[in-house]
This record gives sequence, structure tokens and C-alpha cells, in this order.
Amino acid sequence: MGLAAYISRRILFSFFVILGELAIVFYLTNIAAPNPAVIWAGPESTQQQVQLVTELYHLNSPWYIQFLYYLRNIFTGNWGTSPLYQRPVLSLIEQYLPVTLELAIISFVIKVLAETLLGVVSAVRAGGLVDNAIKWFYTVTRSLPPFLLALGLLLIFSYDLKVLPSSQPINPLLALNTPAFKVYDPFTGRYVGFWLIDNMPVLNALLVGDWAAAKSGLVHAILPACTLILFGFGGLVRLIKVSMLDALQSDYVRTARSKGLSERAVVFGHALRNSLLPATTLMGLLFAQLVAGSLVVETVFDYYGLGYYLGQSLLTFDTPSLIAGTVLITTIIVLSNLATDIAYGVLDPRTRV
Amino acid sequence: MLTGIALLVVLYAGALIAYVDPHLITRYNPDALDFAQANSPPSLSHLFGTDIEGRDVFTRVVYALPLDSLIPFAIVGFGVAVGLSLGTVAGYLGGAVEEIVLRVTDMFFAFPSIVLALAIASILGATSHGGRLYYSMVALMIVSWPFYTRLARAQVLVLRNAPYVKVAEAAGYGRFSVIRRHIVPHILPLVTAYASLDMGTTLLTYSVFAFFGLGAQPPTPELGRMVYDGLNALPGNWWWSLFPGIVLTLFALGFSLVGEGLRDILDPRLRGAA
Repeated sequence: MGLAAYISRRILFSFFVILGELAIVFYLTNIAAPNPAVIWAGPESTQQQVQLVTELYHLNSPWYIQFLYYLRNIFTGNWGTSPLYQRPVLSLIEQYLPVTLELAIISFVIKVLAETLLGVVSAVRAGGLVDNAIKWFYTVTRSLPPFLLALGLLLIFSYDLKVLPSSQPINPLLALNTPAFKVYDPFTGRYVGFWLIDNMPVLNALLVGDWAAAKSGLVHAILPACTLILFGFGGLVRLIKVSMLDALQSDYVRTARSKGLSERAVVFGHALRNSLLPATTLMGLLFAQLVAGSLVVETVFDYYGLGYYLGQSLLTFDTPSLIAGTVLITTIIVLSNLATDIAYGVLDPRTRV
Repeated sequence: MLTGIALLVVLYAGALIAYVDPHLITRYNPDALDFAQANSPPSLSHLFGTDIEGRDVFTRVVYALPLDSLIPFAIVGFGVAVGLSLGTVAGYLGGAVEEIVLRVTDMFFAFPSIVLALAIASILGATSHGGRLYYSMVALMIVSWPFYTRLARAQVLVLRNAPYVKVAEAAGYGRFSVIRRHIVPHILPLVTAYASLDMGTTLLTYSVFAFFGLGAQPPTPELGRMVYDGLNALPGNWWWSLFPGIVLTLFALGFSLVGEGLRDILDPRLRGAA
């Protein structure tokens, strides 16, 4: 199968996965809710409002008809209104999604660098004390209950040492109200912007040039990012180590050594470069893990992102938010997996099935 | 791996004793309130301290052992049973059956398991408070099997052309009998290795459910729930959540050490990496 056909098949499949998950979650909320109209309208709504919402979302029809209307509404920009926040779900997502993405990207970069470095070290020092220490470090971290790990870090660095803030993506006093891309649109008379970037606390502050806010955003990200990095730490270390061990015994490394190259040049320039190829396929999976992990991390650290939002909607049965949040996180994860599949397909033609 | 086996043996022996006769290990009642002794830190009479109502934390940990040692077995056991049957049958029969099974598996495999499981458990648990212990397990079961289907099918593709399978077919054994007697026994060791790795993570995932009000409901003693309930008291009464957390970690550590040990023995590509 050609590459183009393979990629388009994967994209189509990803679309069906997202649709399938949406259908499952929608169906379950539908059978679980004794009176869906009250959920969609909010707990303190009047009889009239409930009636209105029932008609608006076609709540008297069977669930699959409702589902079709929901799908149509998603594409036209009406994601329902959250009874918890009393705001449209879409505006909540515009606010929360960029925060999570930024945190995930920061953690992703640090995690990949750290794990690669540890993988190289444990391959070079295979069987030695350092190798064993690294192995035990990640075996034990992986076995810690996730929120105990998060809270442990919170207690030590925030309450005991008082060096790092315990909650929120940014100091509210420094939070910016001047988004980088927001401009006045004379035709509609509204302020429009590029919300995906405008709502990223650190990136927006950097773009505007407000260093105090950028620093505050980074400092607030340290603890959540560290926790995310430690979740499932070690998978990449292991992979890099296996392929590094292979590479270090190969002919081209022996040739490089016999040319008189320094050990550093041999390890990083020759062996690591070739070992990175299999690791690229793990990147999508790693990013997906970070996004899924944000559910716990953001809830513990009150870091107001998508994970926090979904966590709150799970706790309060805020159905419109629950469906939207679940599907959005699914979408991000499915897209990361799609990137993995495409990387596989490009790098290894045998997998194109 | 020996460390892992030792850990699991001790924990499961403890669970067994706790199930048969908890009074061999502890002299307290897990639900007995004793306000005179409330909030006392760990001491000789209360090894893990007591909680706000004076209940002995050590006793509650002991009473939680049977449930917590069964949760991963129930969930992963379900996943292995379903995944192994679907995977072997699909891989062995091939054709349309394989295609259908694979597409459905791929679909479930692509779901982000914890997010979907949390959503399912939360929605199902919305109407019934008491059922949350089971709904959370069901939710994790629903997302547990696709991995094993893929693993089993990949192995069957290798084994299908093995000489002893060909011999068994030539000897006139039926298809399902070949699968059951000649293929499954050869896949089982590798599946066990991955299942062991999976059990540790599953138990930890289940403990996350407590955080969102799902999973076991009080006063049922369950380790994840106890860790969560103790979190509100941090940093003051650290013993409420630390000790159940340590026991939970030991479970996960045991499963993951055993799993990694088995995998290194059975999967030669990874040998030397551990």
C-alpha cells in the first residue's frame, strides 16, 4: 500500500474512533440520567427553561436522534451550556485547552530529553552502579500511586520548603488581560483573537513581552510538569538503552572508535543518532500519556486546564462538560497515536497494512 | 524478580490470613470508633496510627488486603480471558473473522483507557452509590482486553505454521482443539508476563478512581480510597494516607518486578535491558 493511501486510511480510522467514543459516552449519559433535560438546563432551571432545552436538544427523541443533533451542534459551535459554570462549554474549552496543551508540551520536551539522557547513560554504564540506580529509580516511581506522588511533591516543595506555588497556572495578579493576538474586528464589532495561543499562560506572556508573567507561569508549571514527567517514567529509558546496547556493538561504532574519535562523539554522534529512530515511534504515545495524566495532575494542583475541567465535571456530573471534555482529550490522544502510526508508516514500510 | 515474588508472596499471604481470620494479625475492629484514641500518630499499640474517628489504620489496611489483591486479578483476568480467546481464534481462523475482530479491537485499543473508564464509571455510578465499587471495575474491564487480543494474535501468526501445529492438524484434531491444546499453552507464558505488568498499573489506576469519588465507597476499607481520604489531612496526619500508599506501592512494585523478570526471560529482544 502506498504511503498516501496508508495515511488517509489511518486518518479515516481515527475519525471513526473519535465518533465511536463520542457515541459511547453520549449513550451512557443518556441511559444514566433520569431526566436529561434538567442536566442540560442546569439544576436551578425553571419549568419553562427545561421545556425550552427539551425542544432545543430534541430530548424527547430516541438517543441516536439526539446524538445526531448533538453532532450537528458540535459542528455549528453549540456545545451546550455547563450547568456548573453557567457558561457555554465551547468558551470554557477555549479557556482551558491551551493551558493543558502548553503544560503537556513543556513536560514532553523535558521528559524526552531526560529519558534519552538516562537511557544513554545506562547503556554506556550497563550493569554498573549507575545503571542499577536508574533502573530502581524508575521501577519505584512507576509503582507509586499517581496522586500520592503528586501530593508528595506538593507537600515537600510547596508546604515544607515553600519554594514553589501550590496551585493555578499563573499568579492571578500577574495574569494578562492583553492577549498577544487579540485584535478589534471592525466588521463584527467584536474582539477576536487566536485563542489557542492567547490562552497559553507562558507563551502569551512571552509574545507580549511581559517577563514577570512569563516567569510566574513557568514557576507555576514546575510541580505539575515534574509530576507528569514522573508518571510512567522509564519506558523511553528502556527503549533507548536496548537500541543503544545494540548500536554500541555494531561495526560502524567500532569503525568510529578506531578512527580515534572521542568517546563522546562516538556515543552521541554515532550510536545515539541511530538509536533514536525506533524511539521516534514512541513520541506520540508519550504525548498521549501526558495528556491523559493531566486529569490527575491538574486536579491535584488546581491547575486550571482541560484535565481540571474534566475532573470537576466528573465530580459534579456536569454532563455537557463531561462529554465535551472526554471527547476532546480523546481527540488529542487519537491524534498523537495517528502521528505515531504515520511515523511508523514512513520509517518502516512493512507496517503499512 | 525474586524481590518481586517475595513481595507478592508476603502480600497475598497477608490477604489470605486477613480473609480467613484477621484477628491473627490485628486485635482491633476496622470499624470500631474510639474517640479517646483519635488522631494518634503511629505507636506500638497502633502501628500505623489512628484516624479521625479513632479507627486503627493498620487494621483497616489489613482488612483492605483481600479486596485489593482481588481487584487486579478480576480486571486483568477478564481482559486476558476475552483477549486471549478473541486473539487466538482471529489469528488462527483468519479471513473475515480476523478482519472484524481486528477492526473492533483497534477501535477499543485507540480509546484512551483511563479517560473512557473514568467517564463510564462516573456515568454508571451517578445513579447508584453502592454499585460504584463494581462499576469502576467493569469500566476498567471494558478497556482491558484489546491489548491481549493483539498480543495473542501476533503470537498465533508465528505459531500457526509451526511444525507441531501442522502435525496436530494432520492428525485430524479439530480447529478449536488445536487452539486450545497446542496454541494457547505456548502463548500463555508471555501473556502472563504482560498480565503481571498490567496488574500493577491496574491497581494504581483503580486507586485514581477514588480521587473522583468512584471505586470503593466508605466504610469499605480499600487502599486507594484510604490514601484519598487521608489526603485532606495532609500535611498534619500523614500516616492516614502514607501507610496505605506504601502497601499499594508494594503491590504495584511486586507485580511490575515479576512481570519485567518474566518478560526478559520470554522476550529475548529485551534481554539485558532490565
